[in-house]
Formats: sequence, structure tokens, C-alpha cells
Amino acid sequence: MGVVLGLLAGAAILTLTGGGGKIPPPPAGPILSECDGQLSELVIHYEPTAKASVVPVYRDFLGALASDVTVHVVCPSQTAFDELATALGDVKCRLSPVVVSHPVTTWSRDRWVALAPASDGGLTTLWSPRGEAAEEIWPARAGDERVGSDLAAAMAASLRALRSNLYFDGGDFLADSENVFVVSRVLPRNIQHTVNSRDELLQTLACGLKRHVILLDTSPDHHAGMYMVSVGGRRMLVGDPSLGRRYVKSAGDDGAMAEGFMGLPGGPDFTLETQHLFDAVADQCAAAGYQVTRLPVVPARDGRTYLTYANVLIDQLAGERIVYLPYYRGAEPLNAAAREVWESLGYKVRPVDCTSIYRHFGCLHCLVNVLKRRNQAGPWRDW
Amino acid sequence: MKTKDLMTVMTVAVATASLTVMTFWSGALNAGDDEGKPAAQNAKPKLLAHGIEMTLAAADDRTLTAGEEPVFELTAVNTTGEAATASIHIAMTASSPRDMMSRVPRLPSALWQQDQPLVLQPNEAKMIRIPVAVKLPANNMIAVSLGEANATPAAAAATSPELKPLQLRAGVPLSGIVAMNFSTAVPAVPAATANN
Repeated sequence: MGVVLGLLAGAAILTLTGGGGKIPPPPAGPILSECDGQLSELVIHYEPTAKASVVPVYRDFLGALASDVTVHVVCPSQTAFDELATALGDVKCRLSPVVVSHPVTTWSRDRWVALAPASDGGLTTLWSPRGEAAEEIWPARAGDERVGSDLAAAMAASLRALRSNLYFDGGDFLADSENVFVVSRVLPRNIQHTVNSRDELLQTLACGLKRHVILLDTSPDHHAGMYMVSVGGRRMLVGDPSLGRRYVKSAGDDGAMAEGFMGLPGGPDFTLETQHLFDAVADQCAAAGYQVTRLPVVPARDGRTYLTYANVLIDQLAGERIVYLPYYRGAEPLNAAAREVWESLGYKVRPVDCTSIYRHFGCLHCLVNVLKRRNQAGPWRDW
Repeated sequence: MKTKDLMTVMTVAVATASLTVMTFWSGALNAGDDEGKPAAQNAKPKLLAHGIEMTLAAADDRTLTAGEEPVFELTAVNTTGEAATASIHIAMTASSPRDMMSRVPRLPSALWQQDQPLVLQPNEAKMIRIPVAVKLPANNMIAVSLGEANATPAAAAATSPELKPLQLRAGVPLSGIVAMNFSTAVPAVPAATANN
């Protein structure tokens, strides 16, 4: 009788206390698709030293958003937030400060990926990487590592933070409603460090992201959004330097040219080797069953600076598909060619001036992370 | 029920309850800890080629710092019962932020590379010291990769005095690993000291 009473008492204690206060977390849903649903809640960073580079981009982009969109602004102080709000002027969307007590970079995209709630009314999960590259030599990058938990603390009723065992940048993933493409460099960052094999990496990613994972074997050494974008319906847009070259005068036979064009470091890179990297992405998308449409792109010789038209945000409003599309002053024929591609796919283009930002190795999509979208398609497979 | 029996039942019940709680309490710890420490990272990444298991480390477990010429220790263990040979390509790269506004660090640039032939008897273990006549640059992220010499695209470029960044992108091939990662951060000099 004593044993039975003890078991009952023990079970009651465990039930009432949650077994030590660490109740297994509710399951998360899949990584948000980047091409389905209506933009609802976004996250940007604002670091005052980056004002001249980011405000022109934010002004165009945030100025085009509707009043039912909330933009959470991660910034190091309330003063910084006020400075941004003043610089932006009248915008219809709602700006909400998330003041953190540490340095941050201006790049929101890479800090975490949003996993949808597993059920209606559930929590959105921010899945952050195990660590940030270069955090030892880059104080703001060390601060970036904390942003996922900063956001969860500020919005505890709707968000939770989860830290992955893997190394990645949020921009290493490109998700639609079926698949998540993962850039090739994620493999060497993790193999024999956090996982033992390629298969283990794929399995861990599939479990975390709850989508079918396609690991690119060959791709440019950059984030996915710099050279590819899924538009849904199994169609992928992939950058093509040979298309970009048509709009860049004076390229030599070997693809090299003077550094003059748009201030690209070392000049545009139209070498066969670089072309191959972009073509390899297109081939892998086609092999995965995607229809591929090529977009003009002009990569620079430094391998980091791109004039890209894949670094976009996609929105769906009342049956209309909208793309917030970067443009670069001084590259008008290139801008027009890219716009034509998007319009041919039925997108309404909302241009965003990214002239001030592209020299910093990123663009619009890299600055903005998406926390929530309305009307994302479900259900999803249970991986 | 007598008082003595009641006491016995109560004692057993308390002991059982304690045991139950202790057993199952710890089982829930760390389950999905939202900001918990991730699982431990592999201490020494291993490359396996032709039955030879290889690891790389700084000689004498030194912490490598800016300005020094590193010495590495390659440990190779033949895990088979037959003689084994392999040729290993070792490459060291460095990368740093262009500026604090950059989204990502610059592409890694080659600091040093070497092909290392290995011949091991059955079940033999060898340690090879590899001095590197290159000073480590300050405030860089350093990566040292191991791969099979014939399988690395970087190896094809080994005849050229300097690896191009594009070749280095593939410098860590599917069959290779990043064996070591470390930074050469130099602490900032406090303002008061700097002014003196």
C-alpha cells in the first residue's frame, strides 16, 4: 500500500511541477515559406553607424508596406530607434522598438529562421545557429548571437527562441512551401564539428526545418538569396552572369574589366568559373523538379559584392503577387532587364533603391527577416 | 490499522515518492532548452581516407596567436590490418571582415598549403610535425582543412604560387573537412594605454 501511495504522490508532484520546471517544448512547425502568404511581422536591425547605408533602403521598403504590417526594430537604444523613425518620416506600417543592451550588426536575415507555430495560436519559434562566424573578432557579430533570445524575451506571448546545434546563417536557407535549399558551405561548417556525416546533417536540418532539404553540392560562396529565389509553383529564379554581362559595356574576352562599373571591387566577374557556379545551382534546381528562369546578375571579382535581383521580398495581397525588387542607380538597363523578368512572371514590382547597401555584401532580403506571414499554406509533413 | 503499521506504510510511501520524483525529474532536464547550451562540438574532426584516420592539431596543444609561425601535428592511424598509403592536402586560409558594416567576412585567402604523403604499416599510428613558415595575420579567422590531395580542386591549383579565391571556395571539398578553426583576435588596447 505504501508503494502505491508513493507512486501516486510522486506522479502528482511531477505533474504539478512539470517535472522540474523543464517541460518539453511544444513542437514547432516548418520554416516559413519565402514566397507564400502576406507579410505580417518583420524584423530589421538599426545600428546608427549604418544610417547612411540602410535608411534609403528602409525608406523605400517600409514606405511601401501597409498599415497592418508590424516591423520590429532591433536597436541598441531608444535614441537609435527614434533616430530611425525620424529619418523614415511618415510610414503606414507600425514600427515597434526592441532595445537590446549590446552591439548588433545591421543584418537581420542571418540571425535566425522563423518556424511557424505547430498549431493555431501556438508560438512562432526562432531557430538560431549555434554560433556566429567571426564573433571573436567582430563584437557586433557576438551581439547578433543574442538577438533570437532578445526577440523572444520581448514578445514572450508569441515567440520562443531555440538554439540549434548546427552552424549556419539564416541566409544559407531558401524555403518555399515544399523544400528548403541549403547552400553548399553549410556542409564544411558542420561536418566533423557538429555532425559526423552528410546524411546526419540532412536529417538534422529536416527535423529542425520540417521541410524536404536539398543541399546544393556546388554554389557560389554566398547566401542563397544573393543568387536564387523561389517564386512558388516549383519555379526558381537563378542569377545568370551572362545575362548581366549584356548590360555591362567593355567586358574583355576573359570577362575581366576595369573596376569602374558601379564600383564593384575588381570589376565584374564574368569568368567561366563563376558562371559555372551559378549554372550549377540552376542545374540542381532543375534536377529537383523546378522550372528555372534566369535573372541577370553582376557578381564582382571579390566574390562578395553582387548587383543582384534575387535578393527580394515577396508578398501576396488580395490575390496579387508583389515583389519588392532592388534597383541600383547607375545600372538602369540592368534594372530594367531584371524588372522585365519579374513582370513576365505576373509580379507587380515595387522598386527599392539599394544603391547605398550593395557594396556591403548584402541587399534588401539580407536586411529584413520575416517573423510572420498571414495565410501561409499548410499542412506540412511530419519529418 | 495499528499506529506502527501506519508509520511503516507512510515511510514506504515517502521513500517511493522521493524515488519516483528523483528518477523522472532529471529526465526532463534540457529537453528543448530554448537557450540551453548546444551539444558538445566534436573535439577533433577526423578525416578518413584509405583506412587512415587523420586529425590535426597545434603542436604541443599551443593556442596559436597572431604573428607566430604555427607548427601542426598530423596524427595518422591506420585502422586496417593492411599497409595503407594516402596523399593529404593541407591548406590554411584566413578571412576577416572588410569593415564592420559588412554582411559577411571577405572570401578566405590562401595562407599556406602542402601535400603530405602518408605510408603506414598495418595498425600503425604516426605523428608528423608540420612547421609552417607563414606568420599568422592578426584579427583573422583561420581555417585549416584536410582533404585527399587528388580529390581537392585546390590541389589542381597547387602548382600556382597563390590560390585564387574562387578555387578556395571549393578548397574544402565534399571529401574533405575543416580540421581546425581559430581566430587571431588581438585585444583592443585600452584608450588610457594607447594615449601614453
